[in-house]
Amino acid sequence: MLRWCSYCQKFLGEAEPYEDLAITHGICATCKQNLRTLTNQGFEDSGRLQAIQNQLMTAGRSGDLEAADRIVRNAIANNVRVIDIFMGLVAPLLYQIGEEWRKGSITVAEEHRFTSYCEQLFGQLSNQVTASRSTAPPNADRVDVLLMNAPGNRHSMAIRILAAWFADQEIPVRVLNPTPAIDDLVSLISQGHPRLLLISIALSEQYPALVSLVERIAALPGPYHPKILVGGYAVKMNLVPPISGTYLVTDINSVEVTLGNCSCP
Amino acid sequence: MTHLRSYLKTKTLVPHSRLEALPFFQALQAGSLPALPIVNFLRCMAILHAVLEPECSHVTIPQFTRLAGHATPKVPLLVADLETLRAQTVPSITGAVHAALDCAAEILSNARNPLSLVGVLYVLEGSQNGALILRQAYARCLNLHEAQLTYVGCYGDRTATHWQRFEYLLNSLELDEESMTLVDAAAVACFSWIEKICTALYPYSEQSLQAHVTAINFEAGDHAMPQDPSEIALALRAGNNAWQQYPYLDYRYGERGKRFTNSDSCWLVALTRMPVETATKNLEWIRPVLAVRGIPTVILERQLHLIQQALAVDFPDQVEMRTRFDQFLSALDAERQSVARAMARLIEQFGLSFRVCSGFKVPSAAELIASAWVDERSGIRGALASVYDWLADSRRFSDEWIANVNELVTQLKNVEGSPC
Repeated sequence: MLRWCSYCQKFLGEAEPYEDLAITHGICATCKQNLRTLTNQGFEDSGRLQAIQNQLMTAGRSGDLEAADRIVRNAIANNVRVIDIFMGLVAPLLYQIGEEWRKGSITVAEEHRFTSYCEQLFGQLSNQVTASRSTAPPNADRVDVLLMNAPGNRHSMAIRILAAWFADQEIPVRVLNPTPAIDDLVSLISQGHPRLLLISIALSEQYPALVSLVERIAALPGPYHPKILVGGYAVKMNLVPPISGTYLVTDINSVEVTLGNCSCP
Repeated sequence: MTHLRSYLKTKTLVPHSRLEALPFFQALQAGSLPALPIVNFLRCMAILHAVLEPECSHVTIPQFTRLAGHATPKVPLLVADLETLRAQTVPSITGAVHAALDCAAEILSNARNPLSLVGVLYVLEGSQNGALILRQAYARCLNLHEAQLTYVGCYGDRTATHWQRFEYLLNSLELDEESMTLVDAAAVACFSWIEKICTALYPYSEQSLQAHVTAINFEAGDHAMPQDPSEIALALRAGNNAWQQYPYLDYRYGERGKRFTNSDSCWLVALTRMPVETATKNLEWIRPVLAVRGIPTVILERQLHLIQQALAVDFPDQVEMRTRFDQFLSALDAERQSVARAMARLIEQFGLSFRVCSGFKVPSAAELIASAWVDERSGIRGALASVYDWLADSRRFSDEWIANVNELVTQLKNVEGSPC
């Protein structure tokens, strides 16, 4: 399920059961602190997010980017942040559309078109994700997080959305797309000392190449060794076994927890 | 008003010249291009045409339908050429195949606007003009007679008149400037993809060679594939056996279905290299994919047994490989335990009834329906309908047959504990 803050309409992450994409509400840490000053407005608006998601789905099915742009801008005007729209509404739609293909209710062509629609929408609005930040990212030369796909995974939408989420948190991030060769990756890690390496795996067949890659990184000397998080469709659907030396993350909350536990080298 | 044909010719002049100057075409004309890049070129073209042709057939605008209808379907020609060249055993140049898959994905993504299809059609139909001249070169490099190649230069001595008509139909689209820009963008993008494909094709490195699933089925996308030739052979044998044991597959899905059976079989064999839990999860993942498309689980189950049997013969020492499916197969047994006896009785009873029906008959129909019913019962919505709709179609079967199908479904639904 998709958890949103009832008061400030911030996306809080996913909750089990992950395959259920209904929107549920909680309260974020900031709103909890300010609980006494909050009104009931948030609760009154709780159906609105589901409506936005439904509208985006409808626009996506007909490939209507203009409508999607309008829907997103309306949502922004109502204090929903762009990054939360992508993390909490659009990304789950991508998952849902994949499931619809699996269940035979849409064709592979329709699935491709929907993904392309989401990519175009993201392209149109991604500049607004970071534009809303209060400050420039600290120490812009440094990269704390590297994001990439497992070798063979050519779907870049997830890591691009995730990169925008990190940028929104003012965490220096770099997307490695297309997936670099192992030697280039090792060199990047040795030079940049990132804290985290997040790898997205879509299908189980990408697993062997991913294991080789992880083994190479694990062989690096200790201080140069980022924590490795592996997520993506194959992890969410349980299609890959655990990989020694990595954390499998099924949702953004696990990424946040791991990031919080991860000290700077 | 600018004619679309001359507009496109001007706009694509540069990418066209760049393409022709690639080492692939230089070596082809010099007669020194090896067979491997040519086979891969045809494989890549099959990937593109297999996406383009169905998308064109969905468009209902009359001018477009006339234009697309003028182009001879190329997939059957490419299938024939790939068979002639025994392409299944030829390794794939992965960079080229990936570029073709990306191009196919782009065609699909943009196909909602038929103008993008016009751009792609223009490039691919136009390529037949040059291909006629290159046909001899292709044949020489492949050590074949020209007549043995059907895709390259497929219009033969009709090429010029064919192209003239295509140009006429192109111009009759009467597009405004904005629309022409869209067609142009699609055409230039298509040239760019073909350039990427041909650049990767030749010269190629040994490291870029892999057994890729598109060698077995150019519509299979990009999924796991055993790399050991003996495992691939085993997978194809098991796929072929499953295909023969269920003639339903041939009747319903034809040659395209056979290609998918083979590529699926390769994927299943690749699963034997994974831990049991992972193999099980993947099988649970694929089961509804197949079931809702009219392939009840009994066929998957049979294919898994056939693979296990073949593994025991071909790789007797690899005991673990053939136990990878056990968990999944046991779960299937457990799932139907409470209804197994009733199902077996109905399959036997209706198997006999189906056999004596008049008209077209499909062997194992009772088993397929019962399996689809179990799938539906286990929560795969639409599994029963996808089999029923085909097996109870009055354009295909006699009234007597359909009455039997209906009666079997009714009796299955009455089996104790059935929530269907």
